[in-house]
Amino acid sequence: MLTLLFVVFMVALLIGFDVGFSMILAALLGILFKPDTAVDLTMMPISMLAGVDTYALVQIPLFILAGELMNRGGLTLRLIDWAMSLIGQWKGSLGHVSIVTNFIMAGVSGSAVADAVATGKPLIPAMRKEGYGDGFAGAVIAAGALLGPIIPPSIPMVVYAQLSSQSVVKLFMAGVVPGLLLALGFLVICSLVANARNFPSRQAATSREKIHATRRAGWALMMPVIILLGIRFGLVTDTEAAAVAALYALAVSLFIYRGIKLNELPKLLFQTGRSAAVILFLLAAAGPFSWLVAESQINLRISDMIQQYSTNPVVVLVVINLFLLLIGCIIEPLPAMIIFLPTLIPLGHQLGIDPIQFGAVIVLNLMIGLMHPPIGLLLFVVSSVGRIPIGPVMWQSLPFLAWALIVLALAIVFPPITTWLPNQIH
Amino acid sequence: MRFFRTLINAVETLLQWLIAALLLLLLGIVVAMFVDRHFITLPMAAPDQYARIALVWICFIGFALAVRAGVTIRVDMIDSRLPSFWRNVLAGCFDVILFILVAVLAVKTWPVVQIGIDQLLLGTDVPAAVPSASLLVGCALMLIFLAVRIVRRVRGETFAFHSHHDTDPGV
Repeated sequence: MLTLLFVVFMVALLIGFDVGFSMILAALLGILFKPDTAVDLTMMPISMLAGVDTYALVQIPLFILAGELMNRGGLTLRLIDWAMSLIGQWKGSLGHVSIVTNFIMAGVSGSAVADAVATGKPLIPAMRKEGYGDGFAGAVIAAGALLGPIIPPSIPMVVYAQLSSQSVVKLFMAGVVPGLLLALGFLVICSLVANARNFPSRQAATSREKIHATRRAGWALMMPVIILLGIRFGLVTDTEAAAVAALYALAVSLFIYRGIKLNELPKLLFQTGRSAAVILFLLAAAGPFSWLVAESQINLRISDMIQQYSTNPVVVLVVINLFLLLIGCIIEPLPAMIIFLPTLIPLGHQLGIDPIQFGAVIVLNLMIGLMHPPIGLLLFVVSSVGRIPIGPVMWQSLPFLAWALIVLALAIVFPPITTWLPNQIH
Repeated sequence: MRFFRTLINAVETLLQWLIAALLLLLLGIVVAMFVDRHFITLPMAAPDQYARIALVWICFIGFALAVRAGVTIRVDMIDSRLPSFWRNVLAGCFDVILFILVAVLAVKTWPVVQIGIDQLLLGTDVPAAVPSASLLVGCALMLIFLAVRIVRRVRGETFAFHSHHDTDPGV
């Protein structure tokens, strides 16, 4: 019967029923048709409320707000100008500028889609104008935006922390080294492609121009520094960091850069709240669904199945990652996390895999799903923002995708990549 | 019918302002906690409880508005490839199933709210029914929005879901 329910759930999911309500539907049928235990349906609202009524989740709307304010308040454009003044003379520098800008923005927003929109709008047309080609222009923006949910703060890391009862701060720190590796690799790819295709370079900015651009972007550059150092040295909790970032971005956008008018604020706040609600509802729906997973003991069955194959943590991690990469072809990262983590987290625990490494690897894996066909969300976003066909973007994103997979493999095989920095926090 | 539509739009606008206010409140509470810890002791008890109340209200009211706008998270791998007629049929079926599910959820949330009336949240004078009521109100709003959409479909209006790429899923 429970197998049938999971089939119903997967069918509902795949034919396009709302992901949260697919989970609720499965849980409802699970309760109604489970013959041996009498569970009242009141369990559903109780577990839904418990799934979202957690202080740690307060940072989700606040980090989304900080990112939105940064993008709409003109902070992103100043970061692009600043990066351009520093590395504009490099061959194919717009590609490098995309990666550097996204890297800095990743230290604030935690949302790949928001970052792709913010940097794609000005940079894709500029790259096309300079002859980079539609595909590469889109691919480099998608690759840069991938850094958003990996470098702290990261909304998927907060979701993982909530589902696994791990420290958000440690998970944030676990993303730093993989994020740096990704960014460095992406920069190298940009250089190789720029040299191979002979992309143009720009005139080097003078020292005076560099200082001017740095002063203009100073307020924006301070944001990730405030957040990362604040969290690292315990001046702010992770949730307070989100609030401080949002307040800082609000003040800078309204009073210093004046990119947002006061009368635009209610709409921005509402849209942020609605975006956050969509994520939070998934966590609420995961409450009864997790019950169904636990009740059906499907996690134990999967665990037994995998352990029959191997009990070596690295091999098991590889198997789990291959499975998640396949899942990433049909389901977006956050729903995939919420659906499969209740099964996978106990498995990782049982095999003695460091939960922080496990979390970082899973988040990295599912974020790679944002870039690979057929539903790589970032590919669609850059295609839509830049009004470019998706085919060339998919093709040109392959080198970036390959590097991301290499970093994932390194994070699996060498745990210190994800555990060294978190272990420095006491 | 025009009056009803105007009323629904007015309710939606009111809810949008409510979400904006709750988000500002959430920001204010967390900033106040930071200020309280580092600078000035503020006269507030259990601020985290109030933050949690604001959060659950944002979640369920915001989700009702997302359902109204058709921007919830879905896997549109199959239905995006269907002809528009079948997409509309499928979207209509989803609305009906969703209506039934939300109705069941609303009925089952009512006892939770009733039980919460007699309990107080830790460190506050706020009844536990306040956060629980967010789910009930969210369900009621979704029922209204879905009912309107189903009626409009029956009257021959066609509108499929937005693509999942129109919304920011937070990643």
